[in-house]
Order: sequence, then structure tokens, then C-alpha cells
Amino acid sequence: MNIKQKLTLAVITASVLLFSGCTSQPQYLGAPSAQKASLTMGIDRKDFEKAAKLAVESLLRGGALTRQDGTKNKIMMGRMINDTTQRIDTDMLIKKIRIAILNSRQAYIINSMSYGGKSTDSMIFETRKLKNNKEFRQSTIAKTGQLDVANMSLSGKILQRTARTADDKQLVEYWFQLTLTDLIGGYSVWESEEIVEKIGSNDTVTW
Amino acid sequence: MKLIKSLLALGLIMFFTGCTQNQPSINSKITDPHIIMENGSMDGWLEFQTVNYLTREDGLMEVEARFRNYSSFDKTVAYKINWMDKNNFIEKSILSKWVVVEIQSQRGLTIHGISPSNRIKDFQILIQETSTNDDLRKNSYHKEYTNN
Repeated sequence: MNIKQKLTLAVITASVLLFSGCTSQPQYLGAPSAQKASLTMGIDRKDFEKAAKLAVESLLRGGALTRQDGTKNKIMMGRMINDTTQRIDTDMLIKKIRIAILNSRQAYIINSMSYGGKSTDSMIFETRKLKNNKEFRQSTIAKTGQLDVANMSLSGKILQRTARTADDKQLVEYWFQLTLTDLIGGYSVWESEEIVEKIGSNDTVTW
Repeated sequence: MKLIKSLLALGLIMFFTGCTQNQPSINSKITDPHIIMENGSMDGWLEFQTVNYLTREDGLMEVEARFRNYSSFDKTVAYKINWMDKNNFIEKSILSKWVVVEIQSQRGLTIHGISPSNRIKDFQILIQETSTNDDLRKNSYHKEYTNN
């Protein structure tokens, strides 16, 4: 192989590497050019932050948590469904919303009961088991009938749809759907749906 | 030679005056203390138009600010709303994150925000120009861009 052939081979290799690098980079659809690049075709921290921010903005702006009587709503966590191909802890979305709700001072989050009848903090019931245990000062243990029942429930779903585009790329859409239900009346007081779209090489996998 | 130099100078003057005549005169002077444009170069093309804000009955503050891109090019800007309590401390919140948007030439940008709590008494809207490789803003571990 002479020098000219070696040089041609090097240029071809460099070009292949360059262009394959360009095509495999996942991108957000519709984002400004400076913010187009996405780290992954799957759901990442940035996606959860965006979905949570938009949901909280919508929730506070809509006034669904506002009460005229000066009291605060009590919200329990309902069912969160992960209908994607990825193993996701839905708390990555819900925790951000819980923090924002508590910071807004418009509602309490109920920890004594959540979806499936479980408490989100088992110590609520563990401490109650100490009733009549002489080792503990009984006045510091919760009395009967102290727990509040929620008047609202926050439930949701994360959905995924994958499609192949006309130019043989992979389009992945994620829907972040949330619903706030009035448990007394049984109706929805707020709903939100945020969509994140990513496009990338067909060779990329989302999980 | 002298004639060539004179013609060249005349041409340059005509060229640059031509350019400046195409630039619309915009009222870039910001009189509202809530609006902070962090890059001086933005004065030439981004016009601040109005800012409306109110405190709702539930104590939350809502704000809406309008801008217009008077340049002949689409521009990308980043903005963030800082929410401040009665002591002028900035409240950290998911609602105070940098948002990057593209404003088309001769089009407007409306920024809408709601305060994270009823403790908020004031706000600031920060606007910056972005670079094509805005790595620091993407890096939420960078101190300036950490919001929550």
C-alpha cells in the first residue's frame, strides 16, 4: 500500500467515523438548536425535570389547590403507571411535584396512605405499636383518631410510543400524564399532559 | 491613485450608511427593574415591550413579560425567573430553571411565570444570549445554572 492509498483510506475512515457520529446522536424534536442534543433516547433526568416543571406551573396557575376556607388540601399518592419499555422509578417525576406542592404551602402530602393501602412512611404505624409499652412515655405516642384522610389523589401514567420515520430514523415519544382527583366528589380537578419527543438512529435502544 | 482611494472611501461610507439605515430604531432602554438583560449586545435587537404582574387571591404571583426580536435573523435566548421573598432572598424552585427559546426575526416572545409559593414578594426576569455550544447551561452542576 503506497502513501496515496493510505491517505485515501485514512480520509474515508475519518469520514465514516464523523458521519456515523453525527447520525447516532439523539436529538430533541422542536428544541432550539443550542438545546437539541439529548444524551439518550430513553428518559433522562432532564426529561423528568421538564415534565415536572411544566406540570407544577400548570397546577399552580390553574388554581386547583386553592381553597376559599383557608384550609389546605390533603393529597395522597395514587397509582403511577410506567407504560414504557424502561425500568423507571416513578418517584423521579413524582418527588419533584411533591416538593413543589409542599413549597407552595397550598396542600399537605398524606404519607399514612397511598395506592394499594400502603403508607409511604411505615414509621407512622410503627410508632403506634408502642402503645402500652411501658418503656415509652405514652403522652408522646399518637392518640387514636389522629390521622387525616386525604381529600385529593394524584395519579398518573408515563407512556412511550416508538415509530420509524420516513428517513429511517427512530422517533420516540414520551407522554407524562397526571391527574388530580377530588376524592369526595370523585371528579378530576386538574389534569396535565407533557410530551417529550426524541429522534435518533434506528440502532439506538431506549432501555 | 488618489481617485481610487476617494472612490473606495466613498463606497465604504455608502456601504455602512446603507447598513445602518436598514436597522430599525428600537426603544431598548429598559425602565422596569424586574427585567435584566445580561448581554449588552441584546439592546440592539431585542426590545422589551411590557411586563404585567399581579398577586392573586391565593397569594401566588403571576407575571407576563413581552419582548420582540427586531433583527433580520432568528435569535436564541435563555431566560429565567428568580422569585424573591420579603427579605429579597431568591427561593430555589423547579419553577426557576433556565429556558432556552428561539425568537424568529420580527416576532415576539412572551414569558409567563407563576411564583412557587405565597412567600414570594418580588421577581426578576434574567435574559441571556446563548452560544451555539451552551455547555455550561446544560450542565446543571455548574453553580450558576443550578436551580433546585
